[in-house]
Amino acid sequence: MDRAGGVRVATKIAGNVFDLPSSRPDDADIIRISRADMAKSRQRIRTAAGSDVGIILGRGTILRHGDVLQGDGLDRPIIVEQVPETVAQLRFENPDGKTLIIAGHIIGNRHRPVSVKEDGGALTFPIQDKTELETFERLFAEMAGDVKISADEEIFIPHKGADVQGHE
Amino acid sequence: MVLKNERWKGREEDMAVATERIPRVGIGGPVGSGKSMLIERMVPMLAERGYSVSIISNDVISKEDADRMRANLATERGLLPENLVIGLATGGCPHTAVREDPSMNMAVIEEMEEQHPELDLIIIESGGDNITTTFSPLLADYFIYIIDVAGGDKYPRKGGLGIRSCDLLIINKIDLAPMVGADLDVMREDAQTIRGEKPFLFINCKTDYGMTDVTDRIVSDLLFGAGPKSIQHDR
Repeated sequence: MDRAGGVRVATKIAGNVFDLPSSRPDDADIIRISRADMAKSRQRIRTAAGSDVGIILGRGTILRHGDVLQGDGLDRPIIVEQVPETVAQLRFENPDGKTLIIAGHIIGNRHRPVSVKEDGGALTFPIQDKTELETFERLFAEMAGDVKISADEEIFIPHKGADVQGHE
Repeated sequence: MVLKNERWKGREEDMAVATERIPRVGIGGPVGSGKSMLIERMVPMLAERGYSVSIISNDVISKEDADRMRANLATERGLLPENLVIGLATGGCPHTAVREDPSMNMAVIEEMEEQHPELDLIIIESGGDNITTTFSPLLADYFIYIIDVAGGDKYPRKGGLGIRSCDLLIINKIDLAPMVGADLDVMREDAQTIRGEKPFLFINCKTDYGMTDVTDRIVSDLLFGAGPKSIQHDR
């Protein structure tokens, strides 16, 4: 079933343009979706070109920024673009182990996923509003000399250690 | 459409299973907001269009809502078999059973899917004690969050995961707005600001005001406009 009620349906993730940047399809349409919606294995969405498509994937499939979707009913591939969201960014300046453990405990206790940057000097986690920064500034007050906190917008890719449901 | 680039190997999915899967809608909202009434109004409209549905109703202790829906929709009106209205007493925080650990619901659904492949839709209802309720995407494909005007016109503005991230926000009992001093224009403006392009609807379950729009949304956004399986199979 690649069409349902006249809606074209994508049923397969063919690859990811960031795994193979040279293979980005020239004729692709684009869908822009939030991180929350990346975890949906069935959804209807409007593409950047203005047509409605359905997505049906195996339950538990989580889309990734840059995924290329295909389906027999589609006339061209669709690239998934994740929408940037508001995050708190922590920057550590020569922290000791105790500081890092307490920081991890504070964030984990708020059930937030984290993203650890490649250089190891920064960590981000999602916040719903910049007003939440005040709460975290208070929580991190005792280590203010080691940790700087600020708000940012980014395409947040969570570390998989926060995935407690066991799906990929 | 098949990509020509042979170097790409898609993540392995069992597409035959995925496309045959029965779509599921999760309905969450505070106690008294009208979740069960919404279902009692929605199911007859879906049945009239030929869709076969089942209902799972989560509650902490009682099965009162499930018993009422079964009596109304199954026993009295015959819109679905009695055994397809199931009450689950979760015994803990209501959002746990639909978000953090949906295993109790999943077990019921898997049995339902095996025994009733003819179903077009599974409805999962759960009380959410605050505005942060969401459904695990493993459990529900489409998430409706329902509130009512009696909570005050500040409700949409307060945001929270449920209000912000649900696929359809429903604001119920709009007939009560003048009596509780709730300004529907304020609620409309705040809902638009919080939700961006995501839809919201004003309804009144007691009169069915807005219920056709709710049903249309489910058929369009969750079922992708596909007709009932019973009619498709008859062709």
